[in-house]
Amino acid sequence: MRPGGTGTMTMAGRNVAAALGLLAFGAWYAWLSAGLPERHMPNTPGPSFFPLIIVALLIGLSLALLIKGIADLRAGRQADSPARLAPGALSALAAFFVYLGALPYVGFVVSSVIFFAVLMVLYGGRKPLLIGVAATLVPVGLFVIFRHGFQIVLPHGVLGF
Amino acid sequence: MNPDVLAGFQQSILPSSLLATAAGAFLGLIVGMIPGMTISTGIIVLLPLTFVLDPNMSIALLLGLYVAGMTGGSFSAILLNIPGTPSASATATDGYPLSARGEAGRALGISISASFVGGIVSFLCLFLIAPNLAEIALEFRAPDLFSLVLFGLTIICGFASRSLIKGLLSAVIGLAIVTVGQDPVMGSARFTFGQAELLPGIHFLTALIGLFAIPQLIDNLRPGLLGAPGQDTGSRFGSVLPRLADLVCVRLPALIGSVVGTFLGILPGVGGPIAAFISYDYAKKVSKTPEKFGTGVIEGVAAPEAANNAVAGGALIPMMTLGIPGDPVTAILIGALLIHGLAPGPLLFMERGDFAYGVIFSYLWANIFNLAIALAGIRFLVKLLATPKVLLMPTIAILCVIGSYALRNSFFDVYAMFFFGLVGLAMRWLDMPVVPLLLALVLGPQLEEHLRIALTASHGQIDVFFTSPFSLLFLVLSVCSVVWSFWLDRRQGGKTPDTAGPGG
Repeated sequence: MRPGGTGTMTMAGRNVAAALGLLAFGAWYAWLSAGLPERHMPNTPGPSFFPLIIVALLIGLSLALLIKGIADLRAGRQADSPARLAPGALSALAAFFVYLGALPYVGFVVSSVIFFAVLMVLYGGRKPLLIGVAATLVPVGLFVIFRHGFQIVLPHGVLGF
Repeated sequence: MNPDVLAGFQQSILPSSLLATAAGAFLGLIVGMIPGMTISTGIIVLLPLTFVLDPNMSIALLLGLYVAGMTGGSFSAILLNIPGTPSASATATDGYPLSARGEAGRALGISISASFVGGIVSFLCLFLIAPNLAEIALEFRAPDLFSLVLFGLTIICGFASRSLIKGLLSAVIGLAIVTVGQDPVMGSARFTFGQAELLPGIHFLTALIGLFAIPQLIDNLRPGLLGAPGQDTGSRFGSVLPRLADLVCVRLPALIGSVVGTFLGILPGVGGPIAAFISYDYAKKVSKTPEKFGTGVIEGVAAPEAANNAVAGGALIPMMTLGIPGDPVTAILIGALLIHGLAPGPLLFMERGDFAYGVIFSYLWANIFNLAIALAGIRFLVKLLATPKVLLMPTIAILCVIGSYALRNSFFDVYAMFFFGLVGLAMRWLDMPVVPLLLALVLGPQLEEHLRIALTASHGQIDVFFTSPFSLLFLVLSVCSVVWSFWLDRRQGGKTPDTAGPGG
């Protein structure tokens, strides 16, 4: 793998993939925009006016990106690619996903304590005592500060906190 | 004297406001100093707190963080050769060589003092220019406002130096997002799919938290600089109080930096990094010993540091008077003010002149606290460069969830925040700048509203945008802004300092 590369896809390849995705999105957005109610006064823009301008820009720019990506692929040009995702990124995102799913049911404190501990491990925490203490104190402290100090209601779930 | 000036001053010296400013400055120095943290992230983390504070305290807190974050970035640049913020990149050029030969205290003292000079010069410009500009802006009609917002959007070019197509696409995606919800003119629902949560639209701050904070949390999973073991933060660096001879020596570079920074701060999209590099370049040109630049001269520290702090005051001018953000941080500040029902723009000076002047004076206090806290507390502050990210990053993650939930007590906002986090990661994967999307989220609703009102009033005649002098002026400025961005990029041989970062 070349330095700074992705290991799997060049930037030109990514551009082509993104352009195709954005073209599909543009087509869907255009279809939705066309279905918006029209205004019956002559020469006055209705609710679909601005979205249709966006459609034109989106499709035009996506086509430009597609053409550039294909040209780069054919020429074998290797633009600088940003580094790939950090190690542990997918685990962190999965933890975030599960945390947000559990939050309405389990409540802020319990779900945050577990999430905090998982993130500490992912960020390189290796001391169980530190993880246990910090993962308990920080979320509980934030809960107390925001709920009781600033009167901001936080998700309480079935446990009530 | 204008009674609003006095009322604004009185508001800014309330103990609560001063305390908030000082707290913001303290936090800003820390946030700016820590590589991997940005001023934008610092402000995002503080956002939930501002929901419960009164508007004066909120803005004082955020301004303190903004101003001090700029200065804090220079600490790690000087001590570690790692700029804490992109704006401090130029400072490292001479700051680190000074530090390497045992003059870190001298470099830090000059950096802090020059930051103060830059802040004060830009405060004076803000105080003198902003109210007059707001008065002129009151004359604007819908076509003028449309062209003005369009001019504000040309900031995009400044953040799209790697690929204009991707920068523009990022902005268009942002514009598509702001069309979700009620149509701003007729009030009919668009793209809501029958979901009541979508009717008010995607909240700007929800998108912002996800777009900025989540990619940063993921990036920091790499073994990196933040809190890395073995970092020598050089806490023994002698006195940081600048000597009189040094202050005399840097008076011209600091003044150059202040003027250049303030002026470039007013222009949309230029930002701290470019201002710092241009000031450094000018200071070198006027120096009697330009060959010494880069080897560790205090003039090379003073010019960029004065410039990047002056940018903050400059960027506040279009934000306060026209509602147009000069940089990503002021875009976030607009969002924070909107939470309190305060829309920055010319009407703010007319309807809430006391608050508008309060903001201006809080900016002054932010600079004063920045100077005092940085000089007095630097020995303590630099120890925080070793902050373990195992504690910091999970805390930020939890605060992001609190911030998005607390906006409207809605899980929908939390899920939207996470969704935008994934969008932000996808944009990084594509090397697509996120700032144009952010600016489109701020300016998009106004752009559509003014465009449609102008066209309705003119019965669809597009020439209305070219017959109004103000509108024509802004359209010409928009073209100039685009050309300037291209020229700057070409002049620097594609090595434009990274302005695509989320702030600072």
